[in-house]
Amino acid sequence: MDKGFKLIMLSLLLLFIALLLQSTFFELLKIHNVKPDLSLIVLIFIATRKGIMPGQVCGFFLGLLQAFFSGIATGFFALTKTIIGFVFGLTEGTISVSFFIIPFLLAGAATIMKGIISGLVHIIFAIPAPDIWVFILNVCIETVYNAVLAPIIFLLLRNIRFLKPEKSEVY
Amino acid sequence: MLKFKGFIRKNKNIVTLFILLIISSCMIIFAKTDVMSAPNRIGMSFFAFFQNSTGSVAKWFSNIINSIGKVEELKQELKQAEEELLQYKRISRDIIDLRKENEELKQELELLQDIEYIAAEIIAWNTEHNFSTVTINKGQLSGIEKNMPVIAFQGGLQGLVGKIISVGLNSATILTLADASSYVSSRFQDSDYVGLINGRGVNSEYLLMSGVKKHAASEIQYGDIIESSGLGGLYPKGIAIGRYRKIQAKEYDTTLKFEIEPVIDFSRLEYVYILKVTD
Repeated sequence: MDKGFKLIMLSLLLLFIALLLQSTFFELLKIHNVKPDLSLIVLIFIATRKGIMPGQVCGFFLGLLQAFFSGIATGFFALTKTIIGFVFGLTEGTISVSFFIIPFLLAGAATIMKGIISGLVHIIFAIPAPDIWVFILNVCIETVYNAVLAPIIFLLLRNIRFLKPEKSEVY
Repeated sequence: MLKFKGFIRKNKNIVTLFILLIISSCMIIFAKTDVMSAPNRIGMSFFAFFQNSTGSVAKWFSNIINSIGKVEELKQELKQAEEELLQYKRISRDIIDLRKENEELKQELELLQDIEYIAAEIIAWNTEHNFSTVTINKGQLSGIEKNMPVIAFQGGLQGLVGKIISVGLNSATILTLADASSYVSSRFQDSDYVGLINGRGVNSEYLLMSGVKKHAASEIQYGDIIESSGLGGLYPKGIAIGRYRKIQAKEYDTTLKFEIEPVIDFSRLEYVYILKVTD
């Protein structure tokens, strides 16, 4: 099997598990009705480790899976996550995810970016959006939540074999 | 041709990004058409199996955690209930009111006879906060169809939850009233003024009722119940939605807006009833 294809399939399996946990177990972790976006954290880890192509393709399929889980606006999540996968894929090989602060910042930035892109998609495609202040408050809570959780998730993901960096890379 | 192939190979990341973005955009545009409903149905049916099993384990954990605090809570509730019972005993009931209530209940009973209740359990919650949907463990095989109204019971009250938006074989998705794309034709139970209720997002404490005539302000009181009006044909008449809490009146507006506190706390939903209305 082609190495790239295998990587994407395994990453999608990982994202599927993350999404499953997010839609069930993570209900117990809600703060002010907001729960952490585990699948987003996993996606940015994949993108920063493996680059643009796995990042954007995994982002796209993660979005589709999310639409099946939620039953709404197929394409909405795919669009958002594809862009995030692409942007974070650009950082491949340039940043070390082993320091605590890097995952914290990456997850925070990704959540803010998700909020901005979601808002734009709501406007461009005329999808009814929640009250602006409620939306901003939710994004703020989620940003902090994801940022705090990311170092722990990154620590766990670093042990997964297929997500380890190539030998030539030192980070 | 070779130049074109070379260009694609050189810029494969950007080309792939554009292709994926175009596909996603088309999916959003065609989301509400039949083109997208079949893949959605298949996907939902497949994933509901996993959600069902994982959801059960999550619920088991949740019940264990909740039961610890529940004992104290139940003690307090019992004490409160005893006090309320004493209060009720002291209240003398007016016979005319009772007759009126009896008449209304009879009318409701007649209405309910045409409605079949399908009980379902919530197995998963939406993963994003800008949409408010939940997945239940009943689908096409249990007779559930798109646009069926959904209710729930909380604190002894029956309240409207939302409607079914997509159906799989053994699962379905409910769009709750809290979602921004949710609209319900409604009316004040006592004064009969009608309006349109719209969700404000999953974390908003209220729903917004708009389009109410301006002179209604003098007749409406804090705490008045708002129920479904039955107009539009989607939701049956008389299902409680919420209580009036605040008015949003601007001088230049020709109609009034009201903040409505929903009778159902959507974040605490566990079991719901899907209404199958038969003519």
